Amino acid sequence: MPTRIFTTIILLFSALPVLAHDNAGIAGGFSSGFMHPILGWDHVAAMVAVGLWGAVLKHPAIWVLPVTFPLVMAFGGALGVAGIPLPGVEIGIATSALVLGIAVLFALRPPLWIATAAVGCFAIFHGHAHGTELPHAASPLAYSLGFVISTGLLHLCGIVIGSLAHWRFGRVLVRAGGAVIAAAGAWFVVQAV
Amino acid sequence: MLALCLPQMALAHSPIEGIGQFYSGLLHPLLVPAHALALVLFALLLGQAGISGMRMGYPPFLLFLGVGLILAGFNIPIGINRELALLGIALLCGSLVAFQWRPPVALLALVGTGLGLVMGADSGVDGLSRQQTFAALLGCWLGAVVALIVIAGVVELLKRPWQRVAVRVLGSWGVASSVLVLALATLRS
Repeated sequence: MPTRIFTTIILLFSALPVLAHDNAGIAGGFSSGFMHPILGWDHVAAMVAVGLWGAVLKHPAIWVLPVTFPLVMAFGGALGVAGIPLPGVEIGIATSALVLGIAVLFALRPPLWIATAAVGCFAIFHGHAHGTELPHAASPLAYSLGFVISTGLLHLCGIVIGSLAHWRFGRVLVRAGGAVIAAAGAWFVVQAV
Repeated sequence: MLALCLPQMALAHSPIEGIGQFYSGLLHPLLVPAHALALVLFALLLGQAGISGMRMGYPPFLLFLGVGLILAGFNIPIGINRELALLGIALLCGSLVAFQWRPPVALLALVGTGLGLVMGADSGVDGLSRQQTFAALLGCWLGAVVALIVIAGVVELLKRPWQRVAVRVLGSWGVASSVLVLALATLRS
């Protein structure tokens, strides 16, 4: 009995501090940025729709849209960083999901410049929403890399799903995806208004 | 039983002074976001430019990275905001990659010079002995050079259309990140 008590006391006093540390700097900034688009269903819906629409439009839109979007999003983000208000950001984001969803549902094929301009306009709203969070990030560059990469990967998801349109069932699936995104977009617009 | 209850910190160390700092330096270019971004985008640009671009871009980068690291080792400042300069270079390289514009090869040499000098000068370490400092800086030089050559080499090998598109997409991501942080830095200054 005394031996057990003595051993217990020794064990209690020999515990070393647990030095778990929160990687709140670069890793924290990157993960916050990466999760920011994913945690907003309106962002997710619109980003996937950009990839889907690019796949519907085929070459060269399949790469022009995912290249244009981050470039224009950066300028929207710069406005957000600068604190310049953009009226109707949430409505703009919600509308992007609705419009892009409809474009996929009805397989709309406007000229490339119109599709690029539409995607660019919506990118400004998405960028502004992300940019307003940037000054509060632990590591702004890591945060910006995080949400840019996350956005790009969501586009890629849309492109991969859209590539199924080679097959008949794939075309139905893509249009169904457009319908789901359009319905979600309509819901987001109602919520935002 | 008692011995098992008295754990102490395991202090693994290298028998050669400075070798731990060498490995830290080796990883430094890829662990600092501004360095990694500028280096990767420059590598993408050289890969897109092909062998002739690499011939013009590698030598000034290797040389001036060494110059910058030596300046950092002796704590000699270069008089500019190094992070902003790196982001500016990243923005330029990312734009050229995203739009697939082939710059004159002389511009590649100029960018390599600027990137090497700024990156090296921004890689200083404090609180170490002279031997450890230069071990870290040597590791940094080697890590940056290897990363540049490997990434540019892989990009140069990519011939399929979708692969070249993926490189352009990476360039656009780099531009977006650089623009945002430059906007923030400009606002704060």
